Formats: sequence, structure tokens, C-alpha cells
Amino acid sequence: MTTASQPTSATSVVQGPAPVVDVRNLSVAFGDRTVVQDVSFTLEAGRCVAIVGESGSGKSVTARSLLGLNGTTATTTASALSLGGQDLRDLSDGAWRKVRGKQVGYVLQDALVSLDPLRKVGASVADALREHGVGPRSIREQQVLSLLSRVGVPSPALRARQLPSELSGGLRQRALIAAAIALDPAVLIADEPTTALDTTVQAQILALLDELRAGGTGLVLISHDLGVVEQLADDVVVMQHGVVVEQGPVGAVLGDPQHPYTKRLLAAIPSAHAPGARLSDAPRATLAPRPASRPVPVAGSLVLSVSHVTKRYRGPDRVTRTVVDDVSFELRAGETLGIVGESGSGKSTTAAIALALTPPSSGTVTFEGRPWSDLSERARRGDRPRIATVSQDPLSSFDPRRTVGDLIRSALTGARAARKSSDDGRSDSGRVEDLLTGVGLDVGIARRHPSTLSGGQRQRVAIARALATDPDVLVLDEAVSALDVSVQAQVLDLLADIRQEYGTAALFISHDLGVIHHVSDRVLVLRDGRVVEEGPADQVFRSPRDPYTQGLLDAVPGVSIHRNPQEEP
Amino acid sequence: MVIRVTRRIVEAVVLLLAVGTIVFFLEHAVPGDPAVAILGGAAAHPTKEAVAAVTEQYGFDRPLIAQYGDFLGGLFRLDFGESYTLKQSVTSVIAGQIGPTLALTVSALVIAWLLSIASTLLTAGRPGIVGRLGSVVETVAAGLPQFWLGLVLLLVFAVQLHWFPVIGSGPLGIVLPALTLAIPLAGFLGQVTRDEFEDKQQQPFVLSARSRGLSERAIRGKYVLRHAALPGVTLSGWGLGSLVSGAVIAEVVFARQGIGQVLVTAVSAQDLPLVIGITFVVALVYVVANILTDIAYVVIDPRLRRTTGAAA
Amino acid sequence: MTTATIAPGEPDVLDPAPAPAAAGVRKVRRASHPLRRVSFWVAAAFIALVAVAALWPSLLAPQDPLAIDLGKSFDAPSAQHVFGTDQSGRDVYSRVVHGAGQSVLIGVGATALGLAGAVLLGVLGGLGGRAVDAVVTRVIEVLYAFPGILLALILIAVFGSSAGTQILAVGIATIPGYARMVRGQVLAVRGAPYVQAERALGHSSAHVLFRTLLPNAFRPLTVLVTLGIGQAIVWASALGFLGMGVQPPAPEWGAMLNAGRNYLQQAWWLDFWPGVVIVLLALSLTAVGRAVQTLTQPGGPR
Repeated sequence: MTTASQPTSATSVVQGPAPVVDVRNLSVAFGDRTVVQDVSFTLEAGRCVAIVGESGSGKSVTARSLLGLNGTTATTTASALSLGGQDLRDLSDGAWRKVRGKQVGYVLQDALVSLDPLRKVGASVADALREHGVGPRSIREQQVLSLLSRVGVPSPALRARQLPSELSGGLRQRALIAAAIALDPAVLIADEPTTALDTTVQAQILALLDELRAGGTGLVLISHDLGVVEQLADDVVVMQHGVVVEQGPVGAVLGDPQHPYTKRLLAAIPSAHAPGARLSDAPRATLAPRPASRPVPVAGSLVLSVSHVTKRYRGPDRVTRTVVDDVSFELRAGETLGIVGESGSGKSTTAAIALALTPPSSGTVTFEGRPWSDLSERARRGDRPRIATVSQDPLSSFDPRRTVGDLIRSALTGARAARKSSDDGRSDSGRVEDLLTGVGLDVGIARRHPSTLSGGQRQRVAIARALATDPDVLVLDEAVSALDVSVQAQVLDLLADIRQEYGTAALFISHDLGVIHHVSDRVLVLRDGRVVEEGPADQVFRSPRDPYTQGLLDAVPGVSIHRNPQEEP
Repeated sequence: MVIRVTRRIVEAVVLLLAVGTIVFFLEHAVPGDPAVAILGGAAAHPTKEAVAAVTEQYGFDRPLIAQYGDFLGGLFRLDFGESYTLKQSVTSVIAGQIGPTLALTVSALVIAWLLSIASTLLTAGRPGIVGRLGSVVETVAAGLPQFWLGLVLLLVFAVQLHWFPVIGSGPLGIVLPALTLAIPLAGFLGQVTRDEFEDKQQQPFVLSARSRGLSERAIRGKYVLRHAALPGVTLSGWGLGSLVSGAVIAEVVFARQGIGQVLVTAVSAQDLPLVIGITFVVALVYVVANILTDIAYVVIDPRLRRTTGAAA
Repeated sequence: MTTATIAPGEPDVLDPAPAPAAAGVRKVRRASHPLRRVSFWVAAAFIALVAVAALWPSLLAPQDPLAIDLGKSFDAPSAQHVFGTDQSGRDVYSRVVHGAGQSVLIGVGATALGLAGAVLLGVLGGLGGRAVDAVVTRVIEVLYAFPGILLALILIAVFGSSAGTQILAVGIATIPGYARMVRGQVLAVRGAPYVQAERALGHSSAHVLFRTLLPNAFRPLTVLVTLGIGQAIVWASALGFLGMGVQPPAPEWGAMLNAGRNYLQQAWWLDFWPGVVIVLLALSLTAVGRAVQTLTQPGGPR
């Protein structure tokens, strides 16, 4: 099976020094299941090649082939697989250990779990030094300090003695990079190095990686984020289901994609379109109409009013932290309010307060003009069906014992119990079917357990459950953050369809600026629990007033990826 | 860290008081006259006058609360009074007998740990039959009743093979009883440690370590093992307590000296001070063991030593 | 705080690559379906056998367990007396079979008592406020500090040695272990997002408690019951071994072990066979318990 653009040899025509990475016809299989098939690419010193794909594309397995870390059950074949001229095929364990750390370094995502939590940071950084025989302890310690400085860790002597849990996310990632480059390897493989980080921190880490590349290290970047790829990479390899579908220089592939999959990936990026445009080629959702007895509130009427809400927590160390500080906003029927902020900004707590799942320390929330936060839970129950929520990890919000059908039915019975009303003529099982088809799922899924479904399917189930009570407000807390880009596109389209059909108001919380811009009418920017900016989405994103917001926008990687929506035809 | 330990000690004292109180009142629920027990039991047919004299002497006719008050006072002085049947101070009886029991339980714990770590290191996470075999062996070991295991070991290694003495108080004599207690505990600890080992081995930090060139052996033995040992350490406090319980059985099977034997006789003879004393000491061992395992846990897991976490 | 700390998520098709994290390690043990394993059926058969022995002992052992025949005392295992005879010439096999009923009764009774007490304590501690929980934790700690044997001994001294006392003694001794587990489970489930989600759907607190919280908290306990019965039988036999159980000539396993203890050198079969039965029973219960756990986990066996 040939793909659209099949390069004949190395992607670069420059006749420079021999490539530091040479991969030709690489195939990896686990038993009888082929996971990577016929992948070829090369990399020269001081350049960056990015391998792009979604989950299951085989990109990580491909990268790990250069380290021999795919496990003993993997069969790797290639007509060429070399690193700095050394042939990596059929290496013994001992030979691999000489290569790892010395010729090639590996950086994973989320240093909190990628660094041994029980060991001091300095010890982990010194690992490669020790394994490859670098001098007595004192020499190693010196090198650790200089490595930490090189990657931009302030007070390296202090940090080296600390545990990973005592460092912030950005510092941890830097330390992880320091550990990988300890012996100055010719090649650095970074597998989703910034996915777990805040946008501003991500920008710093990307800059660091770019610096290393400029210093002569060959960088192999694995990512699902095309913005990151555009920013760092010289060449890009696009993979799907274990096969390369397109590869070439970054400008060519991202600017003028040939393969339908690449086009789909690019189309799925929210910021590449005018807000409101469809991101995927999924058909429009067929949603059942709402019953006449439960109409949506009149457009423009006030649905949720949050007034000077503050939330303070007293931690186990007796320190009181103000997580939400004097936040106020209004949500009107039919509109989507986006709340954006980095970690620690208080956006999730704000959502929890809006849902009355936790009481504010001060301030009030009213719902459709009626008291909401001040009520007892019993008094509130009657209104509960009107406000529904979808969260980032739907699986944890599902009772593990229940099937999909049970979960949705539970929403229906809960709504009935809360409203103290009898059913309105529609049977429960009929409703369940309608809801499942409405969100694009097969009705047979009702009998299955959520743990057997994929992430996208689970999120659709969560949405179906949210719609079961005919809510007036949907609260979506990082609802698409954990999904692959193409799945995310489908779910965003579904949410747009829902909004169009029912006119429900929505509170959309996310750290992803592109998504927020795409779905929101108005935007709230939170920082350390405070509102730093508020206004119509276009205005906030095009001409922000607050420098913090501007900083967030500047930190988003990639430039041409995020076309100016005004230029969209 | 100091605060933790101090708090633990205070909790321990409260616990011991509670234990002592419960035993005191339970023992008083036992039918039978303690005065009679002191005089040698019903079989000795003590006279009514003797009984009355003893009753007055020991204050058995005083209200229960008053007796309890005396008891508490004695507790603080670590004075448990005199054994009714052995006519010695309880403290001296215990002191004389506790040595062998402690030696047995401590060696059993050490052996149990060695066995479970060996089993984990050798078989955890290894594919195929080796891994499964380790798990099966542990499950079987954990379910073995101590009295049966002891009997079998005695039969096979002492009676038939003569490798160890049938009855002996020296170092050779401790091997079989210690194994009797250690093997089931090792099975249990092994299961816990293995589960944690296999879980931690899948973690990204292991992949990271491999990518730096570390050998499999170093990763297993130095890095993953440390994580895996943590739940086992927590359980060791309870484990030592249960070993004391098992020591009673082992002492009976192997006819060893120790407080286990003393305890059994004391209860049937209704020797209140002795029963209380032994119970107290056992509870003390349990409490001390828990404090020690707490400290050990913090030594292994430095995350708890730092008071504050990271800035997010 | 919800930043994207989760990897980019699963695809819409289940991930074809298992992403092994380690060289030389197979991903999570892929056990075969429990009902297909031979060990399960053997274990189940053995349990069934013991159950029959408990309910209709004469079916498996027509000989009278109490029949004395001094001429045949201390006979080694033979065709006529499969497990040999004891000091009074009684057939050991018959005694083992007839003793099953009592031991099983004690095991089941003690486990029931222990679980009842543990559920009470665990639920109180898990659901109650901080003050209640503190009290419950202390109670559990105190119970733990009592070595099981001691408690049993005291109870036997008070109430006399009988099956009932054994049930009481073993039952109470198992409470702290189970209680700690129940409490831990209740606390964990109580804080779980799905409990909050159910409440947010509009259900009353009572509904959430009985339909979601408690069922999930108790789910792991079903395995514990089978394991627990095995352990309880072992403990009860241990007490019998120490002479604290039912008195001879009643054919109770523990008492048989106690009696046989003195004749270890000349008649090892007196203690060996009852012991083997106890061990096999405990193991079988463990095997079946594990299978039940795999079968009843949500989503079915994987």
C-alpha cells in the first residue's frame, strides 16, 4: 500500500554530514500484530524531525526503537536503523546499555511520574554519568550542577537535593531534560515533552529544546500538537495506524497537506477556523426535541449569576489558600461563557461553586433568579436537573458497577425524583435510545460497561447523560482536554450542534485557548483565582487588555497553524 | 518528624491504658474467686477462713472502681503486682520468659522479610511460568496454618531427618519454630510486595531510568524494590503483633520456653495479674513495632519528611 | 486542578499498541477465564466434598467416628482405615469427615460475626464525621492490639470451651482486620467523583448511599468472605489445637490435632490428615474466592 507522498530518500536534499539518525523500512510487531510498518526518515545534527500522530499511530513505538525499549516481545526489522553511524539492529542487552544515555537521550512527558519520586533530583540526573563511568562522586556532582544550570534551573545546588515532588512542573521537566542530556548525546528523543505543562511553561521548555537543537543535538520530537511541531521541527513525519501517510519539510506538509488524514488533522485544530465552523466531517447530530413542558429559558435572560464569590481552603499544613478570589460573572440563556486559565487559576473550583457542589466562603450564586448557593441541598434538589456537567475524565464520574444504559437511566430517575414529577409520556428506554443516537453512538452500547469504551465514546456517554435531564445549563470542565485532536473535533462539533438545537447556555472551562476561542461567546480569564480579563471572545483574543492574557496568547506554539479567522473565506 | 513520633507515643500510651482496662474488666467477669486461685485453686480446698483472710489482704471485697483505681496506679509504675499462682512479681515472671519469645518473633520477622524480598526479586514481573509460580507459592504459603506447618516441619526435619533438635533452646532450636511463623507471613508479605512491584515496574520512571543505560538488575533491586517494600513495611507492625499470637502456637508445638506457654496456663488458672501483665506487654510490643515501622516507612519514602509539597 | 495531565487520550478504536513500558515484562497478567482453569474446578469440587461431609457425613464415612476398638489402636493408614486409627482405635478418616460439620459451622459463624462487626464499625467510621471516625479508629486499634489468642483464651475462660465460644472468639478477633478494610473502602468511595456525580443528578442522599456508595464500598468484600471463612476455620482449629475448643471424644478437627500432638513420633497420621484437610480447604476457598472476584468485577472477566 503506497501513500500519497512517498519520499525516495532522506527528506533533506542538503548534502551535509552523514545523518545522526537513519531509519529505513522500520517495522515493529508484537506477536502477530504489526504496530509500525515500513517507516523511514533521517535526521541530521542540529535539526529536528517531528513524528506526529494520534494514539495508536505507532509514533512512540517508532521512537523507542531507537532506544531498544519496546520490550522483549517486540520484533523489530529494518533495512537500516542506525544512530550516529552505529547499527542498532540485533544489539545485545549490554550493547544497548552503552548506547542509551550516551548516544541517545530520552525525555518523557510529565516528569512527576517520569522521575523516581523517591530519589533526589540530582541522583536521577547523575544516572547516565554513573552508568557510563564518569569519575568519582564529586566530579559527577559538579556535572549535575552544571547540567541543571544549562537547562535553566535556578539554585541548582538546592534543587539537586530535592525530590521531584518539591519542584514545579516546569522545573521538573527541565531536570528530566538535564538527565537525558547528561552525556551530551548526539540525539535527543522527546516524547510529548510538554503535554502536561501550562502553556507559558510549555513555551519555555520548547525554547530550551530549540536551544539544544541549535547547539548541535539532533532532536526527534513526538507530538500530537501541530502547533508545537510547527514551532520546533524542520521535518515532519505524519503517522496513522502504524504507517507513514505523509512526510516532508514542515512548511510543505503543514502548509499544503496532500494526504486526507493530514488535512483532517489540520482541519481539527479549533484555532484554524473561524469560531463556530465545523471542525470534523462527522454528520450533524440528530437530537430529539425537548418536551414542550420544559422549554429553554428565553434567550438573553439571566441564567446563572455569580457574585463576588471567594473560596478559601485550609490545607493540612494549616496555611489558608485563597483559591477563588472575588470572582463575578453572569451567564445568559443561549450563550457560552469560556473560562480560561492555567493550573492553579481556580477555574475548576469556580465551576464546582457554580454547580453548587461546594459552597463559597463568601459571595452568592443565583440560578435563574432564584437562590442557589445559599440553599440547603434538599431545597436545591428540585433545580438540579436544570444544570448538568461533563468533566475531563468521564470514567471517574461513572459508577463502576453500571452499564451505559444504567447510567443514563439513573439520570432520568434522578431528575424525576428531584422534580417530584411523574414521567412525561416518554418511556425510559426510548429516551435512552434517543439520547445515544443523538450523541452519535450505537444503541447497542447501552449494554456495555464504560470501561470497555474508548475515550471519545465515554465522553459522548457523559454528554448523553448530561442531556438526559433537559438541562438549561451545561458545565463543561476540561471536557475535551483528554481527547485526541480528531476526536476532540467531533465532540466540539457535537456540542455546537447541541447548542444550536436546544439553545442551552454553557460554561466551558479549559486551559486551551484555541478551544475556548472556538466555542465561546464571551470569555473570562482567570489567574490565581482572580478575574484578570472579561469580554466578548473575539475582543479578548484579538486585542486583550491585560498583559497576562497577551502573555498567554503569545505562549501558544505555532503561528501559521492558527490562521487569522478573518482571512477564512 | 519529631512531632509525628511524639504523637505516636501519646496515642500508644492511651491505647495501652485502654487495653489494660479492658482486660481488667474482662477478667473480673470470669467466674471464680481470685482468693481461691491464690490459695492454689479449688482443688486445694482452701478453708473459708483462709479465703476470707486472703480476700481482705488483697482487697477483693472492695468496690470494683476502687480496685480499678489501684490497678491504674500500679500500671503507671509498671507494677503489675504478684502472680497468684507463681508467687513471684509479674514483672519478673515476664522478664524471665519474654526473651525466647522475642527472639523467636524477631527472627521470624526477619526471615519472613528475606523470603518475601527474595521471592519478589526473583519472580515478580517475569513473564511466563516463573512469575506465576512465585505467585502461587506465596498464596499457598500464606494459607498454611502455623500449627500444621510446625508439626510437619518437626516431623520431617527433626524426627525423620535429624537436621534439627526436636526440642532445643539454642540457635539450632530456633530455626524450625521461626520458619513455622515466618513462612505464612512471608507468603502474605510477598503477595503485597509483588503486587506493588509489578505495578511500579510499569511506571514511566522505570522507562526513563532504562533510557539512561541502567541495567535491569539495578533497576529492579535498587529502585523498584524500594517502592515495592513500602506497603509491606506498613503491614509489618501488624505482622509482628500476629507473630506474637503465633508464637503461642509455636511454643506449644516445639515445647519452647516463652510467654506463650505462661499465658495459656495463667488464663486457665485465673491468675489475673499475670494475664494483665502479659497482655500489656504484648500490646506494648505491638505498639512499639508500629512506631518503628512508621519510622522505617519515612526512612524509605522521603516524601513524608518534607513538610510542604511543591508549588503547582 | 484539571490541566491536561492525561496523555492525549485513547483513540476511537481501542489502542492497537500495548505500549509496554519495560523490557522483559509482560503487561498485566492476562489470566485465562476463571471458569476455564483446572485449579478452579478442583477447588470447587473439594469444597463441595467438604460441604457434603458437613451435611451428610454418613454418606462419605459410614463408620462410627466414636467407635472404640482398642485392639486396633495406632494402626497406620491402610485399606481398611484410610487415615489410620487413633489411640483408642477410632477411625481417623471417619472422625475427619464427621468433624467437618462443626468446623465449617464455626468458620462460617465466626466470619459472619466478624463481618457484621466490621461493617458496623467501618461504615460508622467511614460515613460519620471526624469525631466519630476518630473514635472508631481508636476502637479498631485497641482490637488490633489484642493478640487473637489472648482474647480467645479469656472468652473461653469466661464462657467455657464450646463451639459457641470459639465462634465468638474467632469472630471478634477478625473484626479489626475487616473493619479497617471496610472503613478504607467507604472513605475512598465517599470521596469518589462518581458519588458526587450521582448526587448532582438530583438523587437524594439516601438513594446515593444505598444504591451507589455502599454497593461499591462492599464490592471487594465478597472475596474476603470466602478467604475469611478459610482463615476462620484455621484459627478455630488452632484454638482446638491448644486445647481451647470442643473437648474429645467429639471429632472436631482442632481437638483431634491437640490429642494427636502427643503421639507425633509414633503416629504422625493423627495430626497430619486433619491438618491436610484444613489446609486444602483454606486453599480451595482462596482459589474460589479469587475466581468469584474476577467474575464479578464490573465489565466482566477481562
